[in-house]
Amino acid sequence: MPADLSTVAHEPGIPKPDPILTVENMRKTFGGLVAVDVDKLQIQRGVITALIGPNGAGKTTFFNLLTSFDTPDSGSKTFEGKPIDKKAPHELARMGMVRTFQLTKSLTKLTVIDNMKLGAKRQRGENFFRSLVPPLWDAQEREIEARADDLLKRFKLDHMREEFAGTLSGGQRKLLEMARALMSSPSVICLDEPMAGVNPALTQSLLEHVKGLRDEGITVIFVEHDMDVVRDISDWVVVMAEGRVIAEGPHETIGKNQAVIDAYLGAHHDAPLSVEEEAEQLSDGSPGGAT
Amino acid sequence: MTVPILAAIDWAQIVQLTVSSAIGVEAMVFAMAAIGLNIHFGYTGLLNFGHVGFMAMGGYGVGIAIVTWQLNPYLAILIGVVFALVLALILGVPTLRLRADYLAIVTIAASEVIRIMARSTTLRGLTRGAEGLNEFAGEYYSLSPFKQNLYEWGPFFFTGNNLFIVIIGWILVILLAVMVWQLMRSPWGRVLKAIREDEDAARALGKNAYWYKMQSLMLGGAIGGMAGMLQVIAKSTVQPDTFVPVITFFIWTVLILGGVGRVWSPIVGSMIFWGLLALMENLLRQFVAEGWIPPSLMDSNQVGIFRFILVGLGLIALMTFRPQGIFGSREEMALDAR
Repeated sequence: MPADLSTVAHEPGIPKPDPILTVENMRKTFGGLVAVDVDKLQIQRGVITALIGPNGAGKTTFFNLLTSFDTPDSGSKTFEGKPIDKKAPHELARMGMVRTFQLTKSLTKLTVIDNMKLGAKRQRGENFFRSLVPPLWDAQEREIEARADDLLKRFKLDHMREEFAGTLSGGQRKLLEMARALMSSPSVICLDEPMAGVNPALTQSLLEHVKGLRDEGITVIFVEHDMDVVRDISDWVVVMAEGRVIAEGPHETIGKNQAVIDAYLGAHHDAPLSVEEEAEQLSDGSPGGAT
Repeated sequence: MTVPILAAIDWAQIVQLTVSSAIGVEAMVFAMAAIGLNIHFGYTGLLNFGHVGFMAMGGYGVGIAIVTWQLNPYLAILIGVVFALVLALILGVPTLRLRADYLAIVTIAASEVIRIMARSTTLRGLTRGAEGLNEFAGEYYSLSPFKQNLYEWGPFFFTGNNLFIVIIGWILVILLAVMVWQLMRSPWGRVLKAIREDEDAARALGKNAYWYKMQSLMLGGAIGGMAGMLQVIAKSTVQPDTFVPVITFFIWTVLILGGVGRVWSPIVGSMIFWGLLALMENLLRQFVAEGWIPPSLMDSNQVGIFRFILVGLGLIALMTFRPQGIFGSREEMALDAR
């Protein structure tokens, strides 16, 4: 873990020494519901940042806003110091920020290897006119294919190379989606619940892959519910509740944070009931009162 | 009972009419149009229910350029393509950012708008209204090496002009099919297929889904326009009411029959579709003429309509027993259900 986060105070919205992504005053409402209302958040380069929070905290919406799959009502964001508010999702991907989805989007009627090759950036053969003249892109295609085969081996999917992606299991699809995202050599990868629906044996290998990404210098942001996973791999944890960032810090401090405990368990979960409250709850629950 | 019936039928004539129909002008035009629709729906997943609109644009492009604007007939072909491309742009700009069903609604409406505008009195100066633009294809046929009036091979015969347009047309169809084959095995085609499977996934991987869908709409539209051009050149007339919505659904039938998203399916699908129609029509006609189908049940005027009922039944059977069409793969189809 890079040491420079150790000097950062554990406060929501705190500036980081080397931020790759920054968000300011980002707000998104759906009708009367404020889904996301983040005053300030910076993501440190080269570390694994976990985004956690109870259901409905706005994590996925925030992800969508970050990757331009949804447009905020207001707010601004920067990537590598450049403003990216007006960028379309595909432009962000080309700049080096790729994402995966909570519900995996494997391209079912493409083979696994074609799924992988699609991920590569700046393909000459993706131009209509050039695509008609194979010699213009053959060499690049072979190079992409070699890279795809390497990644498939790393993710233990090489035996499925020629199968349609639709025949993969749920866990294998998660692996494929992550591997495919890596084909674009991203600098930031945003994983939306990468472990959801993956069996425990596969979870372990997925975790190793995610740690491997950090070791290669890729910044990882991921949404996760499983606290064991968060504890295992995250360098920094951002906690959201009701659309806001309520806490930040390494996972050791998060568990003890009062705001986080309140968000997950309710503000007065451990306070003793007063005599009046106890009497009220008892009478509510008693079937004898009604008859 | 059945044997004397079959013996009394003029099989030579039926085979001749069926085969002529399977390789005739209509089969060729629909094969080409279906190649365009296959690019839209089979490879990109665009729901285009107004393909006949592209054919109309191509046909009217040629007709207007030659008759109304008095332009060179070769320039006219270019103008026909440009007309179809313009339609693709007009349809694509507002709808391709939206969900797939919006394109379906807009295309079916647009194809009718084009037909009704073409026959309106307001545009009479341009399109000559309901009577259409006539007798403009002579220049093309002057290129034809087939100067005789009639060419015969055994039971088969074509007029010289017909033979010319059919040969040119089928050569073009084959060339276009080869082009589609090459496109769809290239990275460009891979992006189209990715968009068909999941547009957001393609976007997340840095592909400009909107622009690729636009390219697909334009390419398939231009090919549809070429099909329309061949049709009007074959008849040497452009009339608005040849471009009715049912044409679009014949093209869909041809495509589904052959198998969606397969290179050769538009060609084989079209030949089977038109061959079967001719076969059934002539078989039924002979049955009626011989009195095996009593006049109280059906007379010869109803044969033409009844064969479409049979085509419908045939399609239902196809969807039940072979939903992937002739060339499709059942395994691939089953992936959608997972």
